[in-house]
Amino acid sequence: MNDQINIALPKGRLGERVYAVLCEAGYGSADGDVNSRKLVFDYGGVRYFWVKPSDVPIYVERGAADLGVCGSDILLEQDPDVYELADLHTGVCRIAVAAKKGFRDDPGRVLRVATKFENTARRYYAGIGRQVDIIKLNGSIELAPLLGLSDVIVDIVETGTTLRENGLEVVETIADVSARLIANKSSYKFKTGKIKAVQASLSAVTER
Amino acid sequence: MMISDKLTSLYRRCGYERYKMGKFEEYGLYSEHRSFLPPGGMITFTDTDGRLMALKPDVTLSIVRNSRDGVSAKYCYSESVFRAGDDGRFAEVQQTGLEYIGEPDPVCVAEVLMLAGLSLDVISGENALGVSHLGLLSMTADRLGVQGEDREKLLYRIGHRNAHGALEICRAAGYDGERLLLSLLDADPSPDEAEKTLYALSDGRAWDEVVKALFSAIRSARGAGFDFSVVADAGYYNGIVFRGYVAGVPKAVLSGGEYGNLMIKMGKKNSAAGFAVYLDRLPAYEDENEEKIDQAVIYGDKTDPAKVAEQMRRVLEEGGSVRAVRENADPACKKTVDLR
Repeated sequence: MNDQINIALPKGRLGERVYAVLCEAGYGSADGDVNSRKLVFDYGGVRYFWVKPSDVPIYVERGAADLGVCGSDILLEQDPDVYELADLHTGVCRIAVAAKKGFRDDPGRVLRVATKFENTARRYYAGIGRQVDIIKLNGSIELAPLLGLSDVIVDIVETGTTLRENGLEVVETIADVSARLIANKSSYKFKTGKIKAVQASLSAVTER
Repeated sequence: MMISDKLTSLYRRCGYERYKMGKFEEYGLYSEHRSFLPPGGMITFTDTDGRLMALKPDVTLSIVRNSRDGVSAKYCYSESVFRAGDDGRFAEVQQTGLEYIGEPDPVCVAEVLMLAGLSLDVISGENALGVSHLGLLSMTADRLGVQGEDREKLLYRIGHRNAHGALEICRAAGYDGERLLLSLLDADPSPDEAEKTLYALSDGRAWDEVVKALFSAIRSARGAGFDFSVVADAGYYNGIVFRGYVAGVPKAVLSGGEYGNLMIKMGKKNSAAGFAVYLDRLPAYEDENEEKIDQAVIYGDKTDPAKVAEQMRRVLEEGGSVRAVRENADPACKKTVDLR
């Protein structure tokens, strides 16, 4: 079996932050291909892929990558069959219910919820026994309550600035979110030593 | 020979009888035990007498239903089942496996585990069989003071090797489970090392007995190792549980265990153990080294058909295999006889 470790990184700020941590842990070089437009690049015995953040668990679950980094919001939503080896304590935010300021929930009506986290929202409201109408959107979720498309939204909240600027506020936090190191279950069996070494190095840097 | 044939041949050489079943059964059998089945629905239809039927999504439930109390049985099977595949769409899936049904018997459990290991050897030389014990999981959750809904969450996180998430639950329950949990999740899988680790975590006789049963089972399968992340539904399983992987295949290709609790749920007095091999997860489960046909009989437009038939009959009567091949075709056989 090929001994190379394949790591799927999420494109964007989180991926860049995590790659910087990997460099600090000795698994990459800031001078290398990270700044180019290459989707795949090698460093030492490691091959990196830049993929869409929500696709990271798919690459890992299907074995195209041995390891991956993605937000816990994506794991909560997709529930992939992977190992979740470490909390990297970076990319910290939360997944929350937000609504227009002063919104009061009327329990006599079905609550309209706009979100791209369909499964997470459905599970959350089923857990509190609230009947909801889930409206799946792919972006600009904040717009939905402003235009009367939904009563509330379920979305990622970092600083809350976007919400405030649009006259919205957090009603309830569903879960705290941070970047997680995930592993393919089969790869973990056959590349145990290398995977544990990456895990230990990353944890050492992120838990400082 | 196809892998499924090699596997059933292996099981039959160990005394497992071939179990053959119909393509569909009453829906009720499966709907009552949905959580025993893999996620995804099943294909149902109404029979001519109005009964709701299902194309069978699993073999074990059917074997258990037809088992008789007080009678031991060993069955193997290689059947098509109909269930949602990894892509969420219905598919016909080849499932091969075996079941032991009878008195609780550590020797039979060891035999099942040994055959699980040998099954992985048939599929690939590079394989791993992870084994755990639900008693160990249950006692660990008790020691960590985790009950109810949180217990389910804890087992889920252990199954995902999510140590940080599992520790959060323990801390919320007022326990610092760091030593116990991390020792179990990080234990070296090799039986000798893992056994030492587990005995060092002992808190009494019940723990020691489970550890003893666990390692006695692990040592019966060559190359098997301890893996605390192997979890299964405690509503169905009650003892040894295991999962098998082969290098290059991203998901488990084999899973099984002791499922005494399923037997109780189905009103049976026997205990049971078994496993299924998921051949659909292998990239191509046709054996690359499939044996060639012994003889190709090449014929042309002017060849007498009776002569071709006679040649073929001769080979068949000698116990060989033969294929009639028109001229210029690639025979891919060990030997050729040209009758043109």
